[in-house]
Formats: sequence, C-alpha cells, structure tokens
Amino acid sequence: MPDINERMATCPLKQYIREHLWETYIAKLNKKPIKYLTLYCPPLTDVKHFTRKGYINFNNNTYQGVVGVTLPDKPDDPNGNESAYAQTISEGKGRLELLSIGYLNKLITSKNKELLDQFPFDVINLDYCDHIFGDVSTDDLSDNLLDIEQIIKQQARKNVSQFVIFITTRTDKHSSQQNQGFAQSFVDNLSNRIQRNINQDDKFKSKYNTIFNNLTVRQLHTQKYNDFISIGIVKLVLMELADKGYGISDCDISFLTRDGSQPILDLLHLALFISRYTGTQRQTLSQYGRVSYYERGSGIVLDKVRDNKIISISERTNRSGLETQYGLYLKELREDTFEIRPPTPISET
Amino acid sequence: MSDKIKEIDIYVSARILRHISRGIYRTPAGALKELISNAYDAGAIKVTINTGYPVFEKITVTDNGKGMTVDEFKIIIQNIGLSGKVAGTAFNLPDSNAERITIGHYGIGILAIGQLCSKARISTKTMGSTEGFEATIDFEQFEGKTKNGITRSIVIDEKVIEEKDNKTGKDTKLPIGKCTIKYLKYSDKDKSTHFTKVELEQVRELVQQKLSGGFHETYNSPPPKPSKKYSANFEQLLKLFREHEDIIRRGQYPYEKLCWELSTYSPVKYPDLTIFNKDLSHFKSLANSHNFEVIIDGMEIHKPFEKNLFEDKKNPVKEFFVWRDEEYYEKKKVSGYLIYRPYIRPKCMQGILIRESGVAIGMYDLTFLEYPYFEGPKFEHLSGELFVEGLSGALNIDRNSFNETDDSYLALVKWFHNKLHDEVFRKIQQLQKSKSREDASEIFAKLNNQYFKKFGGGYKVDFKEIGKGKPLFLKEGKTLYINKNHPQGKPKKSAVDTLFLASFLVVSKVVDAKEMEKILNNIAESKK
Repeated sequence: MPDINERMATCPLKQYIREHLWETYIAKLNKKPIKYLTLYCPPLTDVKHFTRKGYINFNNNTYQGVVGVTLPDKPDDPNGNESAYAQTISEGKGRLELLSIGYLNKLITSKNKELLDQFPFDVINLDYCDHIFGDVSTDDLSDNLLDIEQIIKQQARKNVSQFVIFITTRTDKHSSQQNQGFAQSFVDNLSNRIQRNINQDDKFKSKYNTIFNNLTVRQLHTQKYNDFISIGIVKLVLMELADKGYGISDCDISFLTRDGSQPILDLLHLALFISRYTGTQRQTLSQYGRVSYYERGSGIVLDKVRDNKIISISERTNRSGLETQYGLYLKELREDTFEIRPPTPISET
Repeated sequence: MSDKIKEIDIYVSARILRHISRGIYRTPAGALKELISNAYDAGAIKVTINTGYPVFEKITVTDNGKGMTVDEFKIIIQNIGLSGKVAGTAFNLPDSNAERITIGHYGIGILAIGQLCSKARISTKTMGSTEGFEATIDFEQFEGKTKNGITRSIVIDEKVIEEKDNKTGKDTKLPIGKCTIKYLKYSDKDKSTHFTKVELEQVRELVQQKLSGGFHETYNSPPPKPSKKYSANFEQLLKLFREHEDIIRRGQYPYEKLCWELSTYSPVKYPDLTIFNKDLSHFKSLANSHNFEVIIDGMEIHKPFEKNLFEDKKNPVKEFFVWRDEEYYEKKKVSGYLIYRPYIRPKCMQGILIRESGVAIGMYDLTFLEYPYFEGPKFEHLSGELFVEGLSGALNIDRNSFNETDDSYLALVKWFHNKLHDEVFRKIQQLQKSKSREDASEIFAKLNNQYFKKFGGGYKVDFKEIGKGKPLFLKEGKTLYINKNHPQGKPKKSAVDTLFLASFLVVSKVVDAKEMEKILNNIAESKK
C-alpha cells in the first residue's frame, strides 16, 4: 500500500475534495492571491493546485504567502528525524514562504516568531490524517484541537474579518475494531454540546427535531453517525469562534470513504467560512453565561443536512470515474518539482 | 651507460593512489562542486541538486547535459583519472550552437561520489538515442564501520587491500568499488532528451553529520543549537549568512554555508544588480554568458551578492577598479574588478576570488595572493574577482587551489600585485587623503561658527588661496584668512585643533601672526 503522502498526491477522490470543496470556499473570499497555512505536507498537491488556479503566486522560487507545517517523525523530539520536512522541500517547484516542523499549537504557544509573524491567513487547511481527538489521548486535549484553538486565537489577535478553515478528520464509522476511532470522552462531549444547543436554543431545537424526526442525540449518534459527527465538530469549532467574536457564515461537509481495501476508512472534510460577528448581541439576563448562545451559524449545518448537501464519495463508487478525470492532472502536479525529471524508461533491455 | 651508473624506475605506491581515491575534497561542497563541474562540461544548462535537507540521507544531482553512452561510462569508471577531457577546450552545447569551454580534465568525478556516499546510482541517456542505462555503484572500500562509538568511512585496512592487489597482480589499476549496469529502453518520444542523474543513495553518516551540524551533538558539552531560520529563497539565505556569519564561522548553519560555497564556486549568473549595468556590465555579461543554472533544494543560486549590496548609503562603494582582457602571460588574458568599500559583509567576501572559465578556485583570498607590501587595513575594504584564461595547468587535483610555483600562476600574481601597488592602493591613498582634508575643513568650519563668533572679538576665520611662499595668515578687515597654499594651511583631520587654536591666539593678539607661523612650521618640522 502506498504511504499516506503518496496516496494524498495521487488520490483522485482527494482531488475532488480539493476542487469541489476547498476551491469553492477559497473562491468565496474573492481574493487573489491568498495567504495560506497548510498542514498538507509533504506532497504539496493543494499548494500546486491552488497555484495553478491563481490563488497562490509563485515567483522568485517561492510559493508566496504559503506556510507549511510538518510533524516531526519522532513526536517527542521536534528536531529529530526531519524526513517529512526534507520530502516537503523535494516535492515543491520552489520553497514555501515558511516551512516549520512541529505541532502547530506548540509552535504558537512557544512564541515561534517566524510563524507568528505570518498570521493572519486567509485560508487554513488542517488536513489531519487521523482523528482530531483519537482514543489515545483521553486525558488531555488533543494536539489537533489545540491547533484549532491557537489558530483562531492568532487570527483574532490580528483582527482578521473573514477567513476559511478546512478541517479533515477520520471518523471511521465502518470501523469494527475496538480502540479505533474517537476517544469516548470526545464523543460524549459532542453529544452534550448538541444536547445543550437543543435545550438552550428554540430555533435550533425546532430545526433539529424537524430534520431528525425527534431523534434523541444518543439515537442520532447511533443511527446517523455522519450527521452526528459533523454537527458536533462544527459546534465544537463554533464554541472557539464565539469566544473570539467569530461565527460561521457558511459551511459544507464531504465524506470520503476509502473502501477499496481493508480497513475501511472514513474521512470527514469540513469547510467553514468564518466571519467576524458584527451584529448586536442579544443581552437578556437569562442569556448571560451561556456561551453557546453566541455561537453564530450552528443552524447552517442542519440546513445542509436537511437539503441533502452533504457529499459522500467512495473509492468503490467513484474512484474509476475520478481517475479518468484527474489522473493525468495529478501526475502533472506530482512531477512539478524543482528537479529535472528524466523520462521514464519503458523497459529494461 | 657505464657500470657505475644505473638507471632505476620510479614508482608511486598503490597506497598513495588508494589514499587519493578515498577523497581529495576538503568539504562536501568541494565534492558537490566537482559534480556540478562535470555537468557543466557535459554542456548542461541546468543542474538540480536535491540534498535531502535537513537530513541528507540521499543527495540527487540531475543535469540536462549530453549524457553518456555505456562505452563512455565504462572508460570513465575503469580508468579513473584517464580522462579524454582537456581543460580549456571549446565545445558546443547539445541543444544549441552556443560555445562553452571545458573546465575539468582529470576525470575524477567518480571519486567525489565515493567521498560522499557508499552506494550510488547513475542513470543517463544521450540525445538521439532510445537507449540509456543505469549503473549501480558500490564503493566497497569505503564501507562504514563503527569503532569506539565513531563511524569511520575509511575502514578496510590498506595493507590487506594491497596484499590482495599483489596476489591478483593488479598493480596498475586499483579496484575501489563495484558497478552493475542495467540497460534501459526509452520510447521514441523521448529520443531527443539527454540527461545524467546521479543519486547518492547512502550518504555517509559523517557527511550527513557534517552537513546537518549533528557532529556537535557528540561533544561532551554540545554548543547551543542556532535558532533555526528558514530561507524561502536564495536571497533570504544570503541575508541570513550575512547576519549570522560569526556563528557560521563556528560551524553552525552548515547547510547555508554549503549553498553559499556552491554559489561562489559555480559558474552561475549574477543577480540583477543595477551597478553592473553601469560599471561592471562586462563582467555580468561574462558570467551570464555561461548560460548555466543551478537549483539547490528549490532555490536557484546566483553569485552570492545580495541585491541591495551596493545600495547601502551608509557604506557606499567608494571606487571600482576594472581591468579588461589584459595579457598577463604569453597571450593569456585576465579580466577583473575590485570594489573598494570600507564595509564589506559578509567578511568572507573580503579579498580576491580567482575564476578559471567562470569556476571559482578556492574562496576569497584576503592575502591577495600573498601581496608583499604593507597597506594597513585596506585589504578588508576590497572585494573582487579575476576571470583568468589559461590557468588550468596550475590547478591542483581538487581544483580548489593552485600550484603556486606554476609559471602562469606566478605571472598572474605578479600582474595582480603590480595592479594593486600601482593603481589600487595608490588611488585609495589619494581618496583617503582628500577625505581627510574634507573632514578637516568641515571640522574647522564647525569650530569657527561655535567659538569665533562668541570669543573671537568679531573676527571670523576662513581659508583662501593666497599663493605659494606667501604668509600663512592674512588679516583683511574682520577676517583672518589661512593660506591654503601654505604647507600648514592644509591640515589633516588630526591637526585641525592645533590650527584652530593658533588662529584663535592670532585674532586675540596673544601671538603675532608671523610668530605663530614660525611656531607651526617648527612643530611640523619636529614631527618629521
């Protein structure tokens, strides 16, 4: 099986997400070029694709305004074995404006000046390959959630009015193995969050009950897992956003199922268009202390479910068609590096 | 020949040859430079180097030069050092009629590969052919072995190898590795392509440590790691190099140093410096005429001049010295330039750099080829390059230094030292003197305004050309003139205070003007 970087660079399903979800949301910004933060390293297919689409300028050997972060190969030693970092440099036609190694949240909290100076960003692509709160991190907050928290904080610090965040996480509804998937505490937290919203916001409650036919949150979890996870994670991000005066103006959800081989993997792709909230806050005595009340846009995700706007693609169903559509283009992107590419021999003689 | 006189053949020990084959380059940059030079000699107009930074596990050098046939490759690999190349020979580039001059002639590029890695893969194809090949090379004699916690790249005992060589009767050719060749077929559409790709697959651990700075970590008290500074392009790397030169000299930022050295060594173009358009356009065209692009890890390197090098108003360039196509030895030509600027950073650009066919030989030389006269600190204010023809015979085998007793080299040194002595330093002295006089006048005018108006009894002091042999001081109305034609009337910066006080005493009528002139003459005489 190809490694994750190889798969990211050659998968036509992923390209579908890039083009139909990510690119659509970037276009909503009406801005060229964009300032772009990506965890999509090393293959850099997203950077190359957006460059071709004119959202990123490439000049002076640099993808202007693009910052990449790679994880250390040895989690305990941020400076240890930097092969992903090396591969990222190899995969580009030139260099990113900044390439850092480490966990995003730790780089921010350790006041890494090079990174902090790059804020704010127009587009932030948190393309995690695993669960944003896996069952291995049950006690502390996961690095991925801390990343989201710290990024929003920095965006707010720079007083940016609108930006786009892409969040990708494994959901693995097909997983039959124990100890694989989200941590139970995380799932419980999402349940509580949705329940609280139902209890505190009549509009949300009404919409929820209409769409899900009065299912309890627990039933939603078991019967409509994808909807449960999508709503829960959007609400989780909303909490963070609300705390900094932001809300969601739009959001879209796509599921990518890797069912071509075992184990089957499910990946949730969220695209959130985030705006600074400028309206007057409703201030009645009963609403004080209810942080969730100020979450702006939580109903949007329900609208998407209601309107059947959640896209699902899978390897079995879509791979062949998408391969025809994107195969050559992806190969071209893959080979668009700074190195001279000799032709491939057709045979040994 | 009489019985008392006997003729004896002279031999070189196999040990010496084997030692040479283990590596002749002082630094990894030196070895990589050899590979770049080979690409240049193959007519490449582009070379890409993927160093695998920051881990350096694998280094790949790819060029679009003419490539090699299997037969050519076999000759090279079976006769290292027996190159058919002759330095200084003109040839046409594969895709055009543009001409280029070869820079290498020893055919030892394979040794550079062996110094950097223990296993390598070379794939290559020539233009017009659908056949190519891939050679896998294993440098067996360099195998790594850990001894006392240190991995050494020189391991197999020389005596053991020599005994083996003697047994097999291989006394003229020394095996240093094994090579497997795989023949490859390309499609017709790729017929016109030509390339050579060198993959250094198992970069030696010590080379990796040297390039990553990891060797310091084995010290008892490892020095602090530098804060990692990322360079998005070569311009940023040059800035980092200038700002951190002090710690780079202490072995930190070895990767940045590698890039800097390769940009200095290689016949790459100059950046777009406005100054070249005016004063040094000849050299810009000379350097750009090589039509050679080197890209390291996504950064296109150029000569290590920061684009704003000449725009520093605090430290402007004071003078350019330019020589074009001057004969230094038996119709051999040299061109060159020197920049005089009191502040040259990074410091490693202070000095003179010699280029042969555009390729630097060694680094900037602050001794100016061992210039024999004392000139004070002026050397540190000069930076320049000499583009020399016909020096290839004086090059040592590593192409990084000269045989300093070579006749061409000595002639070049003599030519250059005469230029320095008769033109450069003479002009700099004049500049410094006139600067000193300008400074003196400025200081005097300042003191004049500050003190004479207040304490000079309404007098003012000014300079005037009264004439040679005329008195130093001349009173006209309320002005005391100092004769600029008088030896004491052109004070240096250091003597301004004396002349100022003397003028003050004259206008205050404490000392008579003629008496004061005598006093100043006496002081000047005593100083002599």
